[in-house]
Amino acid sequence: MKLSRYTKVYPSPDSADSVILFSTKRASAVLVPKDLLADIEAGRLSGEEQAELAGLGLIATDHAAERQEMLSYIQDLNARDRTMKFIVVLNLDCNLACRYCFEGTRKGKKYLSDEVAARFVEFVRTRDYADKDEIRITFYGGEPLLSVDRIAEISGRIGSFAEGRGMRYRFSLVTNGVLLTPQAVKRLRPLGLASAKVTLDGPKDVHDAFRPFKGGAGSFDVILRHLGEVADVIRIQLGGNYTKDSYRRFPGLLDLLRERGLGPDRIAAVKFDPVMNESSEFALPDFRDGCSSMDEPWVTEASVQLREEILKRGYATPKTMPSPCMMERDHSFVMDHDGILYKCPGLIGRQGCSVGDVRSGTAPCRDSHGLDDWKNEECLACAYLPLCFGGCKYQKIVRENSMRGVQCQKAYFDRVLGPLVAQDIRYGL
Amino acid sequence: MKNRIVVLKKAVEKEQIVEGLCCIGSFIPYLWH
Repeated sequence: MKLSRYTKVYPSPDSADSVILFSTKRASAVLVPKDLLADIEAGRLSGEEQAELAGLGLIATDHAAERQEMLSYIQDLNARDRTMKFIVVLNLDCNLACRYCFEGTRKGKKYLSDEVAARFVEFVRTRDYADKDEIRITFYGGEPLLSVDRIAEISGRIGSFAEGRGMRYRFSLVTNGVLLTPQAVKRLRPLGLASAKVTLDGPKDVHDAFRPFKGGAGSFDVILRHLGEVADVIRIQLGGNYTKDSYRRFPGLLDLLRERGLGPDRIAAVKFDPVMNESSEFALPDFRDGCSSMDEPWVTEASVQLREEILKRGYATPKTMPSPCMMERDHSFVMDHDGILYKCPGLIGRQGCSVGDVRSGTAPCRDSHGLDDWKNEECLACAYLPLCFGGCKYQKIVRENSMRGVQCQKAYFDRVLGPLVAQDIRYGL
Repeated sequence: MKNRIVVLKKAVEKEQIVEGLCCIGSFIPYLWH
């Protein structure tokens, strides 16, 4: 047996004689004495130890077999995927004027028409559901709740279709929260509304500066009020987007949430992320305060520190584990307000990035999107491959105007993975 | 021989991985849900 190529070895914080082994492939971690590492290579593990480490994905029979396993990893995940997923961009309109909105100049009074809605429902109905037991839609915008009637209409029709096929239907919202009223939730809940992701960009003064209403007034108070009103009815996931200058204020937001009764018992998960600068094609002209790359040192510091602040207050946050990009899913599409299909919301409106439309169907995209470009010896030998799979195509196209090739994240993972794994262990993720 | 392994984190199953949507270092900040 050999140490898996996808096992990282980190020093133990408690013992100089021990190390932590973390599997990027299985998200498992163990504490072992240092001399056990040599025993793996020398074949001196007990049968019990060997079985345990193999079961956790930390050791492999040989690297050639493991290489083959990784080459078919995405295919294997797709074969196990029992959910058909869609992201529907209902409009590109909004009641807020967020300074950094990544949809930027794509925004406008653009709404899904009756014709596109009907075509979308038909597109959903004609997918292959042979191995599926659920249909899941994320309603996205712009601001999806500006199209609440459309959400109800589409959900009613797809919910009936799913029920007729013996499948489950549920949907979520990525919403700014301004219109997430108890009345809206009461109307949508019976139609399948399960969760909403709402964004707060720090305590009131910071949030209101970044996410004002179009008229300039702050949106913090109304969002917080709605969260308090609906958090016991649907699952609320809280996101927040920070810049180099704002991230230190986010712990104050977490304290405020708890003071206002929105503690870990009522907020299902929290995750904060850096604002990325958009390409000049779509970027709002007055905003360049985001990061251009995950390699900027402050991003490392901010992402680890804020995750610690979230966890130490008892909130849930995603654990460190393989999480392939939605582009890799065979059964996942994004549809914009015009009925054009994409594999990622970041690609909406970008020339040459669509994979078809709801009128004429879909075309293969593995080649055009460079989805197999990580299948090279350097990536296959990289311990971070299961966390990366060639990186983010959205970031790639923003920076290089192309999805071809990989967006190597090795330097980023070299800096953050050790601390993230330590947090996962410390907080029992 | 005594088992020298202390399990700190159990392995995730592929079904859990299938549920994931975006990578920890490869994300669209606005989409995570």
